[in-house]
Amino acid sequence: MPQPMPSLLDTVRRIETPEGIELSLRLAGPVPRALAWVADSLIRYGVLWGLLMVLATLGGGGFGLWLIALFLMEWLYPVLFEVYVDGATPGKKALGLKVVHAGGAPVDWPAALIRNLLRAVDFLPAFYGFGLVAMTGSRDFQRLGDLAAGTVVIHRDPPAKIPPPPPGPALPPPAPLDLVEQRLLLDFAERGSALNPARQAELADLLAGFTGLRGQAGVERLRAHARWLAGEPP
Amino acid sequence: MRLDAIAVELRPRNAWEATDLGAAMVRRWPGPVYAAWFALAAPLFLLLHLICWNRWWLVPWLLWWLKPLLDRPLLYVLGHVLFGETPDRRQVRRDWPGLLRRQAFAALTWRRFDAARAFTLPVDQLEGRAGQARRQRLRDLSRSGRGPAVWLTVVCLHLEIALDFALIALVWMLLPDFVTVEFSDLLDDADVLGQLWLNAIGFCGLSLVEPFYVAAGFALYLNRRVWLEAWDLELGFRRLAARLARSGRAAAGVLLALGLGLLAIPATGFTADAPPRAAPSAPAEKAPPIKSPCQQRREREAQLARAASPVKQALAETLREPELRICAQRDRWRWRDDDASDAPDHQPPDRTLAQRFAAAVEILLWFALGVFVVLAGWEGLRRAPGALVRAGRRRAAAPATPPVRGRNDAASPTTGLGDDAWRLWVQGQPRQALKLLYRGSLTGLATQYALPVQTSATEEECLRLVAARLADPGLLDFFHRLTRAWQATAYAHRPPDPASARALCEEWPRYFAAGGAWPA
Repeated sequence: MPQPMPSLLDTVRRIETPEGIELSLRLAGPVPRALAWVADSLIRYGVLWGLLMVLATLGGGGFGLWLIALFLMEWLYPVLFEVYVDGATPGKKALGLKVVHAGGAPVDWPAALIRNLLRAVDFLPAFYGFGLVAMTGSRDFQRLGDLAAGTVVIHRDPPAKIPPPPPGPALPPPAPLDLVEQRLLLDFAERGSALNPARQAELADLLAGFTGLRGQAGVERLRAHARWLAGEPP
Repeated sequence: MRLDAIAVELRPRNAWEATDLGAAMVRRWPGPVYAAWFALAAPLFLLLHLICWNRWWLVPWLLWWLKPLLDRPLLYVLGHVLFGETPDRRQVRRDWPGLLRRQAFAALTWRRFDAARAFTLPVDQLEGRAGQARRQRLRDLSRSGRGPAVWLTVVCLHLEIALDFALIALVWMLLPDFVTVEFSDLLDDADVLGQLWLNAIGFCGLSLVEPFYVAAGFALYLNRRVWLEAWDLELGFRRLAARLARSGRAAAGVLLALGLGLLAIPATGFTADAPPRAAPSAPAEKAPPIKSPCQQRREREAQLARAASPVKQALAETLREPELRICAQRDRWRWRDDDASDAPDHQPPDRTLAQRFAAAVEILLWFALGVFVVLAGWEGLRRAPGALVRAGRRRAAAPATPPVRGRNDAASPTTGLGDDAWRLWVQGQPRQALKLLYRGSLTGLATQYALPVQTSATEEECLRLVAARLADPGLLDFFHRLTRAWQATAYAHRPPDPASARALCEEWPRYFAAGGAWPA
C-alpha cells in the first residue's frame, strides 16, 4: 500500500510514547478558540457584574473587594479551571476543547500560569493581534503563551457517536488484512447507517474483487466480515 | 477529480476541526492562495479608489460588497492545490472571467447576506449548481453543516475588525517619540489622508482574514461530504482493492472505479454573502448643538454692538476685525481626563461600616505579610545554620570514625552485640536483630579489618569486598550468610528460621571483637 500519509495535511499532532504507543492530539485552531474565549468572557463579566451589584452596597470597601475579585477573575479564572477541571474552562468545555502539554500530559500549575499570564502579550497590540497571528502561523496552533508554556489546545470529544451495525452472520475475510484495512471494514459497518443505500452499494462495489459480490449483497458481505473482525463468532 | 490525489487527510471531523483544517490549508499553500487573492483584490482596491475619486469613504463599503467575487479566486486555487495542481497563468486567464461572471448578480444582491456564504460557495462554484438543484443540494449539506458555517462568518467578521484595530495600534506603538500623534488621531477619517490610511488598514485586515475564511468554509463543505459520502472509506477501499489486485489474490477486474464526478472543479459559480463588515464611519457632519460656542459668541458680539457704552461698542468693533472673526468648532473624541475626575474624591474619609471593614482587611493583609516574613526568616535560619552544623560535624568526624557509622541502634554496646541481637530476636523483632548484626559486622569490617567500606556501598559490594580482601573462609561464610539473611528480611520480609538466626548471633563474637568498638 503506498504511504503518502505523512505529507497529508491534517491538524493532528502525533506523539509516540516511550512504550511505542502512538497518540494523536487533534489540535484546535482560531475559530473554536475564539468562540470559547467569548463564552468565558461572558461568564466572567456576568459574574463580575453580579458581584458589583452586591458589593456596591458596601461602599468603598465593597468596591475594593470587587477590584480584588476582578483581579482574580482576570488572572486566575482560566488557570484554576485548566489545572483542576480537566484542562478546560467552561467556555472551552462548551466547545469541546481542552488544554494539555504538548506531550499530551494534563496541564499543571506552572504551565497554566505561564500560558495565562502571557495572555497580556498575546493581547498586544490590541485585541489579541499577536496571539491570533502566532496561533494561525504556528504548526500546532499555539499562541505565544502556549509556545512559552509548551501547551496545546486540543479537541476533546471524538466525532459523533454512531449506532452499532445490525446483528447478522460473521464471516472471515477471504484474504488477510492489515490493521488499517481491518479498521476500514469496521468503519464501513459502523458508518453504513449514516450513508444512503445507493452510496453503500457503490462503496461495496469498489471491493467487488474482494468479496466477489456486487450491490446490496456486497454490502452485507462486508458487514459480515466486519462482524468477524469485531470478534463475533462465525 | 481523483480522490486519491487529495492532499488532506480524509477523516470525519467535527465542524470546528474542519475550520481548523481550513487554516492549515492556507498555511500549507500560502503562495498560491495569496497570489490568487492579490491578483484580483489589489487591482480592484486601486481601481475603486479611482472610481470613487474624492469619495474615498465609499471604497471599503464597495470592497465589502464585492467580497463574494473576491472569494472566488481563492476557492478556485484551493480547489486545485488540494488535488495537487497549481493552475498556471493560461488556465487562470481562461477560467477566471467565467468564474467571476457566473451568478454574479445573485451573489451580489439577494445572496449577499447569506450568513453561511463560505459554506455555500463551493456548491455554486465547484459543483456549478443553480436553481432547484442548488437548493436541494444545500438542504442536504446544511443539515448539520450550516450552524458552524454561520459561526465561522461571525467569528471572521470580528477577527477582521480586531485585526484592523491591532494593526492601527501596532503602527501607533512603533511611532517614534517625536511624532506627536494621539491614538485617536489614527482613527480619524475627517481628512483625505486619514481616509486613505484607514482604507489601507481595512484592506490589510481583509487580506489577512478572507483567505482563511474561504478556506475554512471550503473545509466545512469537504467535511460534510466526507460524512455524507464516506470519502475516506472510498479512498481506503480503492487502496485495498489495488493492493489485492497487485498481490494477485483478487479476481481479475477489480472494480471499475465509479467515476463519481466528485468534484467538478473547473465549473464556476458563486454564492454571495459577506459578513457585514464594520465600515469606517462616514465623515461626521453633525448638526451643531443648540448653542455652539460660535453662536454664543456671535450673540455676545451682537449684544456688545447694541450696548450704549462706548467701551463696549469699541470692543465689538475690535472683535469684528478679520483676525478675530475666526470661529470654528471641531469635535473629536479623546480619552477622558482622569485628573479632572479626581477632585471630588478628596473628601474627608467617613468612617462608615464599609470603611472599617476595608481597614480591617488592610490590617489582616499586613498581618499576613508579617507572618510570611517571620516564617520565611525562620525557615531560612533553620536551613542555613543547620547545613553549617551538619557540615561541621562531618568534617570533625571524618578523621576519627570509619566510613560506616552505626546509627542510633537501640542496643547498648557493653554486652556482646550478638547477645543484644538475640534478645531483639526473642522479643519478636527479627528485622532489628539482623540490622544490628549486619551493621555491627560492617563497622567491625571497617575498624578491625580496615576494609574501606563506603556508606554508599550495596550489600553485594560489601560482600565482594570481603571476598576479595580477606582470606578468612569462616568469616566470609559467616558474612555471606548474614548478608543473605539480612537481605531476605529487609527486602522480602522473610526472616530466617530461628536456628540460623541463633547461629548468626552466636557466631558474631567469634569474628568481631565482642561489644568492641562499635560506635554509636
